[in-house]
Amino acid sequence: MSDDRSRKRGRSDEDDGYYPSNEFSGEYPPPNGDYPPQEGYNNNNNQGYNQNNYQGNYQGNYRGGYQGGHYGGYQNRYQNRYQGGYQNNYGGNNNGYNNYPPPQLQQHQLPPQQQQPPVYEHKYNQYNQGQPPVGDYNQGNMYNQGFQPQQQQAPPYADAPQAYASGTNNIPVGAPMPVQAPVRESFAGIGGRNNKREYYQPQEEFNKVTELCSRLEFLGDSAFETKMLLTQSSETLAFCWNDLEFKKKLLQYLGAVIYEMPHKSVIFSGLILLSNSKNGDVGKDFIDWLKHRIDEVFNAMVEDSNDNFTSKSEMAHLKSWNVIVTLLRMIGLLSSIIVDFDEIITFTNKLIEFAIELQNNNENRSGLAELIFYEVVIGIPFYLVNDQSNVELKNKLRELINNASKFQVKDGECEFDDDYYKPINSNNGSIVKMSDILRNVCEATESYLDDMSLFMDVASFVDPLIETVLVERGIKIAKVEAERKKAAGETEEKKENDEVNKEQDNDDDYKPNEGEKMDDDDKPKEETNEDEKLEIEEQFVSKHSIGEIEVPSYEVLNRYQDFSKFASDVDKIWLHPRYFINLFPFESTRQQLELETSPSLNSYISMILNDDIINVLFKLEYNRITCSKHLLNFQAYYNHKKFAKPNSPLDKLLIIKDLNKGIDFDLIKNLEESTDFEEEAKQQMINSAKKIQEEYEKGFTSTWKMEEIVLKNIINLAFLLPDSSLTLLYFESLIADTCGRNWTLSKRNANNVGGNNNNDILIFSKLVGDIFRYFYNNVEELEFVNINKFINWFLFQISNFKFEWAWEEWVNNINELGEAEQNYNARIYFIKNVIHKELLINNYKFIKNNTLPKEFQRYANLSLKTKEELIEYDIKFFGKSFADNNTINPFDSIEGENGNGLDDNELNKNYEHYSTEAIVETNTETFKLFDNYLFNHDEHPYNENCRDIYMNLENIEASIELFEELINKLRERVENESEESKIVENSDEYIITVIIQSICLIGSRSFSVFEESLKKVFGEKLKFVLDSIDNDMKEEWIIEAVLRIWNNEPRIGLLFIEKLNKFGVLDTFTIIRKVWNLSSDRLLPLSELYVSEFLENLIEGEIYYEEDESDDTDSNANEGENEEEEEYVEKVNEESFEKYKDTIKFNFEIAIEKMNEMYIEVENGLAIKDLKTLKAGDEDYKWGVKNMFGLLKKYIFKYGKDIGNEGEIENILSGLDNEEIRNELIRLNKQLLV
Amino acid sequence: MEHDSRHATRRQDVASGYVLKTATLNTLKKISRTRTLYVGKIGPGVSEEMIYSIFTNAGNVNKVIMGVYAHTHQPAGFAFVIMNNHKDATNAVKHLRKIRLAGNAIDVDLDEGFVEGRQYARRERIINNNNNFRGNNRGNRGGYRGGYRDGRGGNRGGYRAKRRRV
Repeated sequence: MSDDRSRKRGRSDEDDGYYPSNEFSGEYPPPNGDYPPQEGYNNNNNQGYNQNNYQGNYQGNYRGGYQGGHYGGYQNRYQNRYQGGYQNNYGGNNNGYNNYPPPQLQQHQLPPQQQQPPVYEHKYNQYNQGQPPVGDYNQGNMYNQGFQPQQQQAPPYADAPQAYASGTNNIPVGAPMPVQAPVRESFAGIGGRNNKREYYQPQEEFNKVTELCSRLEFLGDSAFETKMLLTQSSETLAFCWNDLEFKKKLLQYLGAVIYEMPHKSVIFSGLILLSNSKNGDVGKDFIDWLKHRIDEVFNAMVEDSNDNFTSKSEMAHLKSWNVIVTLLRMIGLLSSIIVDFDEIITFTNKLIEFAIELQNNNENRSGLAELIFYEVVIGIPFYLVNDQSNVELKNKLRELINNASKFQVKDGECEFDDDYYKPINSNNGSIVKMSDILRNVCEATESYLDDMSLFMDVASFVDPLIETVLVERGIKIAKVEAERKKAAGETEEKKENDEVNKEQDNDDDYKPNEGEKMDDDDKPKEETNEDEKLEIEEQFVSKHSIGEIEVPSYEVLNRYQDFSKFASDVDKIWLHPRYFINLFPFESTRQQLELETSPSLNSYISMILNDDIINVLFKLEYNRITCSKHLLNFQAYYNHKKFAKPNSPLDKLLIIKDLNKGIDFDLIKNLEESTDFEEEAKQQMINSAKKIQEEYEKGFTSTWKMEEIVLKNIINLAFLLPDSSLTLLYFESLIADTCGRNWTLSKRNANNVGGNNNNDILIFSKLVGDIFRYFYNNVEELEFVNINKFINWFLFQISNFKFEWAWEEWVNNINELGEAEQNYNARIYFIKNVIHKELLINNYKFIKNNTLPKEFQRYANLSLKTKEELIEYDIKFFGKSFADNNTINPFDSIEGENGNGLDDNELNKNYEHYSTEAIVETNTETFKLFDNYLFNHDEHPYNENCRDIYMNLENIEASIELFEELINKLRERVENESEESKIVENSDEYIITVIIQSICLIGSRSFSVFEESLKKVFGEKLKFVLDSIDNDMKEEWIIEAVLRIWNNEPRIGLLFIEKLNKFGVLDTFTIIRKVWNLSSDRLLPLSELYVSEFLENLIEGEIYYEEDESDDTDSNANEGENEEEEEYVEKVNEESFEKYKDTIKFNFEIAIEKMNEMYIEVENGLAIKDLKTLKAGDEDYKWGVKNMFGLLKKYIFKYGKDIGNEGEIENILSGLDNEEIRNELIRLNKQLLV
Repeated sequence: MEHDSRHATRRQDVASGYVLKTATLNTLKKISRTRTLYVGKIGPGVSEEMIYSIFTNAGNVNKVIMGVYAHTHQPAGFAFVIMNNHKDATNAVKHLRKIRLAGNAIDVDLDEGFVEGRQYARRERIINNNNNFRGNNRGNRGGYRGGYRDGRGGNRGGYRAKRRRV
């Protein structure tokens, strides 16, 4: 029982063992046979099943069975539903409702041996009663021909409320439950927490669509359950299809699955084919639905109308090219039930011709043309998947591909045009251009038409099921015909009946009449030979016509080639030239072993897998957990024998490789004879070898690892240039999730089978480690923006896994770069910034002492200024001798601290211990802020005045007049000092520094305390002082004062500065300029990632969205006021956007100014090609130039479109002195804006 | 959670089942455009700055409000994060739910909006033998406890005179 329940829970999104969850997900039924014998089933002795008496079954099973306490999880949920929903509301006396079939649940009530004959039999019997089965289907019944209600009753639910209210059984069929308006809407409400709340109740108490969708969500996930799910779901589909509401929702859901989970298209095509064999309307309506969605997209293009599916009845997605392509593949998978499939071939050909024409009419590459060409051509083999024996169709497809081969793939204007988009400047072949792949599409696809082994062989388990259905139907129909012939001509009445039956014969949905119940003795299966089956299939399988799909004219489609409309996010990755990082083949271990662990990028398998994975990544972004599960299980949706078993280590693949070569080498025998190993180890190795041998014999002969293909695609999208619409955070969390889930599932599996090989269960994490190593080894070749992404990803990954990483393997490499301080070198930049970021999200002492090797501990110092620089600053306020004696070395200060009050022994215990036992300290203590605050020192002559000011600032009740008096007193003392004893150079600067440093200490607990205090405690006093000082430098003094206090943790200092900016005492432009000039020997935005991120946050913070979060309960609000409000909001948003653009431009200008200054230092010039080939040991200033070039490119990528005006950016870029870089950046900007 | 038939699987950029179960219509309206996030199951060693640096990956963070115990002003294991706009908030919910921050898998949920007073935990932390939170952490979710209290920041450092060095 517990296994059963855990399996059910395992299907919920959050509760598969990786994430703890208390939510019960009971939608999924337990597999057959797990239910104990049910009362209803036993009592009725199967009569209820065969005679359509669902009442006995349903009541017996659901009341008796579920209440019996066997299913704790189900009990509450279903008890309420079935008792309340069916018994009470629908009543046992209503004959119509007695026929209510809960088909999925019906299946479970029967022991396995009684699930044959197929369930649809009873539905034929239903019609044999000679009465229209009422059911709860308001549209009549399953096979509505012949039993349509004679009178149209409208409105159908008119009597529903009264019926519900009176408690009678005369409730209209399918009527929704009455909904009571919520009485109270407040959060806690009157009466306190104990008062019973009334919640908004869902309309339908029991929703069969929801249940079916929840089950279909897992179709294909597990090979063991696929057949069962297919059988049961197709049964429900076929039976309930003619309920309009059911059909509508199901079509929505199927459309969503096809669009969002394209890897499941094949298995879902099996479901449709099977359902179609049971109820021809399913196939017909589904094909029509697909066609109409494609038509809708094209119609919208013609009308240039809304680019969303407007109605809730269709899809919740953008009308886009991707919808067309994805749905077209699904239509292709149903080729075997489409009579006029030539229409689809014609349609495909039209799309290809459009792509060819579009490309030919463009001098340069056309993204849209490439998209259509590539996506349509690689989709062609789908037409053959479920009809592989159709030679005629195959020939037509070859012809299509031949036509497509006329497509001319174009590169950029000149050789280096596309280089901007290279995520890594590697020349060793690890970078593959998309245009090279495009050139191979036709050839690869055509050759694959003879193979088709990648796709899941749905036919192998769907065809027998279809055959069974058809044979049953065939026999029945044959019998009907025989009887009809026998009775022909007897009476006129019978003649009429014959005519009716004849009509029904032509109809796919014909069902036998009463009395033709199939007996067990009558089993036709054994008697039907293969020829008969084929004949029956030909005769009775429902085939449908799709009709012509009209493609708009070239002029219409051409309008959208800039992807401004009708382009989903996944379409937009075609906007610019693309590169693939072919990670694993160039990974050192694989190269040494000469192992091919993934298919070539130019192969069809690779193309279709990459396409599906990219689609999944984009479209399932809204649920990363499901996405992670699917990616981890990705080979299950294809022919899984095309790949190595999941989590296969390289050693195992090496053995498979040898086996494939046919090397005459008996590993097992060799191991058995070996004396080199201990007995236990030897036995383990022998077991492993036997397992590999066994798997190999079962057909797992491939060395391709699906994990690698998946990971490669995630990384390629994460490092794509320019960025896709997906955030880096999504990829980071997705990879971390997948690693965690892989580990949990593998461990559980290992435990279940009694294995204990821990190495096997870390495969996904090991692959991530391999990528880390690959990127680190090639960090010099990574684009600057991608180094930053790498830092963030690396940090995110290790922070989710206890900050464990084998830093030691990089120590020698860093040591080789020498002891000299390097600020910009890519390798050091990476190491340093990762460590800095680690310190921000965890305990300093823990990170430094427990995770870092000694050689890297020097990077665990965030101090902005050295002791000398601090002394130089302090002299202005305290005099030289005081500063020399009392300014503390920042590094000593950090070293002296005892992070979060834990000593080394405590920290050494373990990570979990640390995380739960840590004692909380304030920032004041952690960063020794009082060490940096010298105004309170006894030796400082004005320390008493400073103390009074501090106390006044801290005291919310102290008046501003008193504060003014204190300031005047201090100013007087400072300014009236004699020349000999004068230590303060500038009284204004002194006063501002005292106040700023004081408020930094007062609000040091956190930046939000600082912000709140600004508003409520000392903000007014601060503004008063600043207003009274008229000096252009005052804002710079403020910034310096804040960063002096926060010298040991400047990142918090910058947050304080941001808060002062929002408070209105600091100007954004001043902050930007100051941040670029904070250090005399380095440019912080080029050497510290947190600084460049701060600048970006500051810029983006300028966009202020005025959003109305007010309470909407006041529905009586004046409309005129609302309009005014909207206008105001619009105005504020426009103004803030203008300010945002100005800030971008200002930051850009400063960066260019700095670039020019850097180039002055470059003696012999530094060409772009030199920058691209810099080596780790090159001078630091060259790295500085390279980083700056990368940063400028990043700004163009990120902000170019926001500025929007090509001329404006060109004006800014014209300030660049270096002509080559200037032209390069201008060209990039032009390309992006195009 | 009900299955939206217009999507292949459940959306995660929505409020959790806990919120949906207890929300009124008005709350749901607020949540549909909220910028505020409730962050739960935060370990005791986590500072505001740590939360800020994690959430800034999802978008621009406007404000972080740590949940504290009213009497001690010690962190209570939850926080409110106010993002710059609703899109950033849903991004955070999608991608930061259940990620680890200083060893703890945090809860991230859409919230109807912060109101002064909700930063105070409903009850004091009960520590069992293993020093873990007992019971449902959600019990600590900020409640309504009246208006602004001056002591919100607490522990403001205080003025410390520095001794003369000998």
